[in-house]
Amino acid sequence: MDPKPRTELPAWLIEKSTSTKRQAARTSFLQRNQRHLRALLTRLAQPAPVIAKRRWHLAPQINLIRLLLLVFLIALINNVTLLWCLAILLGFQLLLLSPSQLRRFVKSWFVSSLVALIFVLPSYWLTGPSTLLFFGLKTSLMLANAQYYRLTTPFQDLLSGLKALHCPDVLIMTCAIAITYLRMLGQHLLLTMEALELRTVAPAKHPYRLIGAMFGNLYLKSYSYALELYAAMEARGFNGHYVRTTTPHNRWRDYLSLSPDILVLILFIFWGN
Amino acid sequence: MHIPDNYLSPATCGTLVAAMAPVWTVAVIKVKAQVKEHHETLPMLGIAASLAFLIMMFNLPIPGGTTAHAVGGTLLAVLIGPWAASLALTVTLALQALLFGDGGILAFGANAFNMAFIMPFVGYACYRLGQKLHHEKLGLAIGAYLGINVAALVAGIELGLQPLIAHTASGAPLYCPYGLNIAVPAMLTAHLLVAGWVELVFTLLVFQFVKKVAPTNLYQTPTRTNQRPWIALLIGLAALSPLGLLASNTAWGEWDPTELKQLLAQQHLSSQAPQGMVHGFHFQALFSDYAIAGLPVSVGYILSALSAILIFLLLIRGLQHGSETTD
Repeated sequence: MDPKPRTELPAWLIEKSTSTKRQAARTSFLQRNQRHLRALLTRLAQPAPVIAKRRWHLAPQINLIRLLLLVFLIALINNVTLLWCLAILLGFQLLLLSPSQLRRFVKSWFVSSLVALIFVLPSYWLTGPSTLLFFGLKTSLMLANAQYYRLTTPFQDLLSGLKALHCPDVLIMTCAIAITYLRMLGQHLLLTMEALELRTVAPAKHPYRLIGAMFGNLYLKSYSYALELYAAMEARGFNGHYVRTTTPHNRWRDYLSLSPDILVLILFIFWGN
Repeated sequence: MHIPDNYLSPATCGTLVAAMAPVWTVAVIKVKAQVKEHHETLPMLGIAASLAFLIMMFNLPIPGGTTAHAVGGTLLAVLIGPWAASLALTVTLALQALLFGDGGILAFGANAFNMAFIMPFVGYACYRLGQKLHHEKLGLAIGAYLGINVAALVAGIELGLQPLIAHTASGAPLYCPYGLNIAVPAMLTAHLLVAGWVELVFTLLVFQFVKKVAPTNLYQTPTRTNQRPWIALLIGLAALSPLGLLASNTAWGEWDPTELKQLLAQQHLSSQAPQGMVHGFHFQALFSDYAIAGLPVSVGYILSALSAILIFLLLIRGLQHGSETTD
């Protein structure tokens, strides 16, 4: 079989492109916001898998009280030894995390601590290194505790905890609706921005007018969502109360989990700073 | 403007949570009343909280190639009402602190005080004043700008007070290390020059859009309000005004030169009153020290209080636009 003759490309395709290299265009604010929004939606769509505590599953309200107590203690305590004890306590808890969770914890904790340190860095020239070091240590410890709570507590547990602590139903319901509709509104905003980007040829002359229309539209969308949601709530027999089934918990275990923090509190009271 | 943890002392955080408690209580009561008339307010609170979240994370372009974000406190107050906005912003701040690490957990009360109370209420008050004077947009623009700047000023004061109220024996600050002379200008400069204008333009444009497309979706201020509790409160306060007479001493800083001279001599500080005070300008008021000749002092106090209330009411009445028409 004879080989096929080589197909010649048309002359205009062979010619080298004469167009000058364009500098990478600066990312517009729309693209930047799209990137942030996508990250948020990914986070909301695939919430971080929380660690399953089979043996030591604590009541949600105890988890919340522990977090508040720890943050409060760290803020109050100025004794390095007591702060060290609290850090060791957290370290033991971190041992229960899976390696991937631990890596995520370290990454976000490091970034947030760095931001806090940057803010306080100029105080080095005002008050010296001791304030900077002490402030950095305490802030990092607080951020680590808050980050551990975020990583190990599902959103539903937060709502159950608030309910158990007698938070008003209006606030709990608002929280529940907010987190659900954050994803829906975020999706709507992202689609609007994508549509705008596709339809816009030249950079917007008045970007603020565009943003005004975008958020005005988003507000009207949220109003229609609210009407639909209320109709659905009424159809399901909504009576104005937030109801959640509570799972039985071992009270002794809950109290026992609080004991190290209470011990540090007692030490703080009697030993002081 | 989100204050993180460890920048404020626990005492400041506790005080600000206590200050917010009555605001949250009244907000829940007011919103429950609002829900009775407009059922959609209840889900709208949650959706508005997520809207506030998105507003706060949306970066707006500013001259110089950088970006800033709006808070939307005044905008939400105008769209869904100030009390509902206060609750929605509180929930947004709680979610940001607990789930996203933006703003402190212990500093939640302070952040709520600045962004969920001061900002929407200052903004809404300016908007309502503008509305009454038939300059709605101007009122809103001033409200948006003033709201965020007053909130920034209060945040600056909260931060700047820390070295004064929480420090070691050697004077090293335990929390925010910057004093009022640094914290207040730092917070105000950024907000007066950049964030305030961003908030103003953003609020105005979104409001304009909603007003043009769906004006009925804006929050309608209840027209008929029961004024009896306010009148009772004012009369009650007027009746209680002579209460201060129970104290025999002059209030601190209100001494006349003779009293001041005696005090200084008692404390071995000086034998003479400051010359500036002695030879300064002395205005003789019509009813000096609220006293009316021939009447007991307490009656003078009550009459003065009633007169002041009457003058202010007449002033407000005079500034209002009349609704009646003339033939």
